[in-house]
Amino acid sequence: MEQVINGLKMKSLVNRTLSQFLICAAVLFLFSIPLFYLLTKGFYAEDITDILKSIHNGKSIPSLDLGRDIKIGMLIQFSLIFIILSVSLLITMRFITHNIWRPFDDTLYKIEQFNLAQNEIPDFMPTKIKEFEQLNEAIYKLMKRDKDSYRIQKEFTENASHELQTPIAIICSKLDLLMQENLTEKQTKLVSGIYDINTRMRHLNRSLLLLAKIENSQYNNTEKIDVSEFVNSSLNMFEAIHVNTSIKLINKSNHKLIIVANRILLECMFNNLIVNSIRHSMPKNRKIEIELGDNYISVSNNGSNKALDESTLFQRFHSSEDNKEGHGLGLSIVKAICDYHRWIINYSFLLGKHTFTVMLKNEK
Amino acid sequence: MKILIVEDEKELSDSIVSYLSHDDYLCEQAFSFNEASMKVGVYEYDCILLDLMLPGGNGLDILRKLKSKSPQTGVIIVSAKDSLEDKIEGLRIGADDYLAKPFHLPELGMRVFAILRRKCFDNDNILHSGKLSIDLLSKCASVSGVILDLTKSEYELLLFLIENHHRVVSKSALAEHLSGEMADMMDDFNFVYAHIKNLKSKLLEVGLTNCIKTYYGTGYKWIKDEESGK
Repeated sequence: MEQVINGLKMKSLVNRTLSQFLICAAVLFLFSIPLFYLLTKGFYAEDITDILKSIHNGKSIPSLDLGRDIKIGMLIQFSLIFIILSVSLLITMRFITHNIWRPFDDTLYKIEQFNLAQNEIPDFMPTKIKEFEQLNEAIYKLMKRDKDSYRIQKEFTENASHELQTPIAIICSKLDLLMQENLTEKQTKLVSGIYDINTRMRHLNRSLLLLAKIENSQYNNTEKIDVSEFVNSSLNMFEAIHVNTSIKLINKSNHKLIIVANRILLECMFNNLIVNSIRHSMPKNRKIEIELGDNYISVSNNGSNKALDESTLFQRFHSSEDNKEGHGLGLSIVKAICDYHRWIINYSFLLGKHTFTVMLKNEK
Repeated sequence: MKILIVEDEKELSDSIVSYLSHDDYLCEQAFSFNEASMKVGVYEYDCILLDLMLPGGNGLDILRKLKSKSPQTGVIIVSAKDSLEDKIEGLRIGADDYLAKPFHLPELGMRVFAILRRKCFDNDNILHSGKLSIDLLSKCASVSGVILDLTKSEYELLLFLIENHHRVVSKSALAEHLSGEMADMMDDFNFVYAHIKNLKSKLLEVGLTNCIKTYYGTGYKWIKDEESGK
């Protein structure tokens, strides 16, 4: 039954448990030798000792209770053996087995923790148990296959969006040229229609590429960023773009909020949140509020009097029935960026105010 | 003025040529690494548009070669690979500008014209268009001495239109120029109307009436004032 893998002697689980139990029992028996000695001396040999003593002193043989002694002695002997075996079984089950099963528990824990999108394949604890080794190997292979197909799928998204860039760029350039011709109003309207569609396609494609890149961890250079400084500089940009929007910044933080993040992604997340709230707010009385706390930033807007469905909010290409604007990737990108930085994003709805809050982990 | 366009996609290259080939610009094309390498080695250019991913090699190598031979040539890197490393590396070697694909031709045009202007007029930082002059350093526009009170967006808009004069610039090109990365998230470019409207009324105050011609609400063109008056 023995097998050698990686220099470790492989044994099956039953063999291992059995041998551990035997060793344990043997050790306990060894330690209980004095007890057996006392037992033999006190009960079985008591009468013989008495007889020998009487003969030695020349007295007559004393009354003997051999039958009773044997009964009690045997009873004690059996219970002693029973206790030793039970104790050794208990020890084996409780402590030694626990030790044998540790690699299994470890593997189980690592499988629970495994996340296809983020982690590498974990290193399992080396084990001498054949079954566990087989299990680890099988799980490793399974994980590797999953990881590979996941990688191929991600690469496909990235490559596909990448390859689409060129045709889109060509259409865009041809349209820019077509605009230079002396077009009639009808032709201009047609060109304008194609323009809009191409722009949408371009944005969609760029967003998909961005998502693929986040998932492929291609934004790994992080830096320390002062959030309030960052927000202030971003807001200048928005005021240039949105003419009829009031954006209010409420600073509730007591100290500087400095986070470690990728600046491009942070910008992208923030812009998406703002654009999203602008898109869904009342056009007549557009009020956007940005709140900055000690460890969070939130963006809220006044909008429809109905809470959004949280379960589908961050899904790709999901748009609510009463709003067909946007390409449906904005909030997915926000979510992906939050996941990437391990921030938590929450949505809440209170008194006609929709709020997205991002808990930024504060760097200690 | 000689411009070399290094771009393996023929359709795109042709579009760039026909957009830039107004006035007295002479455009040449190279479609592969070897062709570009040869042309850069033999001829002199005023400006080179350089794609980084070329059949046969990396565009950065051409840039290195060019910078050791004729460092005064202006270079704009045009790449579909919008990775930050390439951009930094390219600018470090000596490229003047970087543009990620896909782009609008007016956006490219503006950057090319800016580089050529810098080269020809020897760092003259005043841009003239009829009566209007723009100080590029202090970022302010004036008409016969009267300074226009423009917001940042209006200034950017004005400069963009003037750099692309005699060409129709689409609303989406303008929107993209003004909002940068954020254009990806927006569904309508109506904010461009608002800025154009404000800009037009400010130009009207100083007597420039028909400088910005609108094409059915989808495109705009800058016309020098003396021509528009005719």
